Amino acid sequence: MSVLHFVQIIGSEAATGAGHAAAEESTGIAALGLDPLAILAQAGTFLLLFWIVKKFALGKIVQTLEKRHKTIDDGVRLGQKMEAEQAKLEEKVEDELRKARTEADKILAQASREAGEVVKSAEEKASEKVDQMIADAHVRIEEDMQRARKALEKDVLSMVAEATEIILEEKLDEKKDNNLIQRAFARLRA
Amino acid sequence: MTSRKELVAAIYQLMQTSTDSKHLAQHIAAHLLDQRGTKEVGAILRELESLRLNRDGVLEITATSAHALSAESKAAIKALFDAKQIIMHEQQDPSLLGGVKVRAHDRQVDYSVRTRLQRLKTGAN
Repeated sequence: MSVLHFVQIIGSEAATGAGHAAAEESTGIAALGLDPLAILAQAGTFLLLFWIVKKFALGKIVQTLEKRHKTIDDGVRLGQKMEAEQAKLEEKVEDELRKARTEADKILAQASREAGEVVKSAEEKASEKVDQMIADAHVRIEEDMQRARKALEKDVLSMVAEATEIILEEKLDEKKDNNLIQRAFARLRA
Repeated sequence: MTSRKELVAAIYQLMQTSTDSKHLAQHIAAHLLDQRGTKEVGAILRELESLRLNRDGVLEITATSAHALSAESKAAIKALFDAKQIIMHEQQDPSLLGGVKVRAHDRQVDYSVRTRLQRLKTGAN
């Protein structure tokens, strides 16, 4: 026989006994419609039920509740941890972005500086080239002038020689020619 | 076949003994034609002149001028050379305009006006 069955029997007997008592006398508490035996039986049943529940079910219920509580706490802690991780991650991302922006600014500044240097170098080279071209042009002009001067000089000398030839043909007679020869040989001996 | 030096020595000997210079020249020309040595006439004459200058002190010069040379001019020309006897051959070339061009066996002096003017034209001194 199980404990539950025993409790039911006691409960049933108590109720029956209470019915009989109520039927026999309706004075005192019974006059109020309350049966002390029934109350006692119900209290015993309650206590027995409480004891059974405490003995066999309450521990497991409490354990289950604690387990659920622990699971919820773990979840909350995990959520908080994840929030913290997210905050850290966001901070890290922000930090990386800041670093990237700084690096980008540096690269841009460097690129700008290098571009400026390249432009400056190109300008200097162009300037040097222009100076060289001007110098070359000056040299060429000077050479052309020298050539022109020499050509002019040659032409003038040629004209002088031709004019001298014409004059000498007319003016240089035998006497003057002999004087010329004697003077030339006298200079040679001297 | 005789060498040029031997030939020059032989001609020199013949010149010393021969009185007919024309006949001698013909003989020499015939010999050079026979020996096919006409190309060497210039060199032979120069060596002969050199030999005469060394042995006899005789120097032959040729003076080319536009006008006839006066005695003073001839004396001035001869004074340029150092020899016992100077034989001057004169030539006239009006294209020289003036001055004189003198040629000895190993020397040439050009004082002609034509050459001077030519140098002036070309810019040479």
